[in-house]
Amino acid sequence: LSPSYGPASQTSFKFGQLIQEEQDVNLDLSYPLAVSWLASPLTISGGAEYRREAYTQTAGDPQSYGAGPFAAPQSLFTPNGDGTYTPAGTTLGASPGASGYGGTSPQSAGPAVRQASPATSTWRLI
Amino acid sequence: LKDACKGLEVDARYGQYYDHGDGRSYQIAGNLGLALGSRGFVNFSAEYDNDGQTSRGATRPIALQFAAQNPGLANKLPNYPGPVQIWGSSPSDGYKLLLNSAYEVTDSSSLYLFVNYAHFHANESFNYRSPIAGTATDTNGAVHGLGANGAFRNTFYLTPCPGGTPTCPAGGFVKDANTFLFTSVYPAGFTPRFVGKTEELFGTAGYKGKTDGGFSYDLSGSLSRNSLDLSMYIP
Repeated sequence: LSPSYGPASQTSFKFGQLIQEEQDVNLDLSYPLAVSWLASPLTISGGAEYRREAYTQTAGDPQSYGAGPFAAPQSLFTPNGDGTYTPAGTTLGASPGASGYGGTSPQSAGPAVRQASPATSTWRLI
Repeated sequence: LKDACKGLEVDARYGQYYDHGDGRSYQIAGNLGLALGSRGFVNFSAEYDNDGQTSRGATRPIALQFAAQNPGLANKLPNYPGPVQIWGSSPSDGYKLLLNSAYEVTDSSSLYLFVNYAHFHANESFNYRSPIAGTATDTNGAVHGLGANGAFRNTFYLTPCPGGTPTCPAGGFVKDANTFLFTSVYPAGFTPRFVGKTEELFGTAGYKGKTDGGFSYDLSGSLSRNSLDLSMYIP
């Protein structure tokens, strides 16, 4: 339930998706170089990589995170029977969002992206 | 990685808990290898899993108190006559697909491709939301409060103030019998189920080889996507 929506509360909620995406291009090169005074070749290797990562949150159902019409306390008035009313206090405001778990709001939804392209070089004697 | 270029293999498994008669579980998996001419192969694997709910817990003390105080509503308790909140392994199902392939373009170089897709779905019993508050005494004799869920503490007044009435201004509500309470829908409380769906996709394609001079190279590209989709519902 999303209590602050009162009688209009949904009974099922989508909270939004969490998505991680990665793209990677990798090049590895190696070459065994014969060195006269070494018993085995010297392996020279190098490489390059490009990597892009993106993390995205999508918004959930509005009722999963939102504050409905009953989130604010209601001001109550008791009828006197003659067309006038007497103030009768306020109610408790109901909690926003789905009870027990809040969904992702459009304000916090969106992507975050990171890119990197390291190069490597290794000299190895095998 | 499986790289057979011929043959088909299928495995199946079925089981359940003998003493409780629940937790039915099965799995079907297969692997197929195909040759790509005389220089390559495609190896394909697939698997489907399905695991049923088990329940090994007792009901919550506040649910026992609710049933004692409201015998006529006891059968409205979630999962009645079982525990209001289920402790056990959650039902889940999923499948995985996997493709591994390589092709020798020349005697010393090859193209390769690996693709993996997996889908998983799990559904777990969430916390019981009680409409009543109570107390319970633990084994050390200490008394603990058992709260009612916040959704049940509100009375919603549905009659807005009539227009043109200074003593009942716009935005106010008339304190009358036209009200709504969540107990009218869930008189014995409710227990949502929490659902998670994951999807994983991964693929790598590349070209690798060695020149006559001993120079080795391996160029590859990978794509992956992983997503989690959460939702909740009241059964």
